[in-house]
Amino acid sequence: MFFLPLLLFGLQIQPSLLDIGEFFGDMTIVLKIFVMLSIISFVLQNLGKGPLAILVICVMSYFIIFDYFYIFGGVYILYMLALLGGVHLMIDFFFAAPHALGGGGGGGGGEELEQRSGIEYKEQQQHLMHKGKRMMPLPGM
Amino acid sequence: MNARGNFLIIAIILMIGAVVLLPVLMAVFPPIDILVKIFLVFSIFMMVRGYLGNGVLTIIISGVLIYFLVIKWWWVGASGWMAITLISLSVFSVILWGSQAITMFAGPKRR
Repeated sequence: MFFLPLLLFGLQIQPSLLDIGEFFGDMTIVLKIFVMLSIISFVLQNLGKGPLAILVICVMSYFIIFDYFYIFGGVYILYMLALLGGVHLMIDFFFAAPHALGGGGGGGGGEELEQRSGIEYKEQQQHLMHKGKRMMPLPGM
Repeated sequence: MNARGNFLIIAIILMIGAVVLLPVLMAVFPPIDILVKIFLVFSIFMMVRGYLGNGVLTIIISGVLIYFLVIKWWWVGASGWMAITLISLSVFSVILWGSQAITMFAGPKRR
């Protein structure tokens, strides 16, 4: 029952997924249109309307959209992600991931141990005893 | 699996699920499909008019974008709009920190 909506969604987009080349071609056109809108907006904002603005738009569009789009396309995507708050998301990820590991960026495999306080050390000891490993007794235990 | 893998899997699944939710709802409920497409049409036209002002070029470019993002690849337009909205509202940050909390509370204690 839970997967029925996903199945309906998949059936609707399935014919589209078969044309991957057409999909990437159309999305490239859409991206080029957005890049062109940004160029036109930037030039009109700085130069106003006039023959110089049109000339600058044409030159910039030629190099960015038609000549070196394989560079500027990716740059534009990163620029828009950053503009919308993607950098904030990356910062949160790099702060949240170490906390998910249980400490300040430490820890790797399953059995590595980090001692931070007496209480956690006691829990560590009990954990290892339950797993049948020998631990050396320490003062205070 | 260690805490790092659990955290990444939970966070990625939740983020993808949040983005895919709207197209799935559009596929299941036709009224939502119509409403979202109307909203997307207005959003695209308003965005292009903000860049180019009123004119024939605005209508042409809006028409091209509406064809690709609302009619032909409607699920891309819906997913993209949902992702942009969620990023701008910092919902993904909430998902990330929630995934971290879930991983810490549900996973084995790391000492």
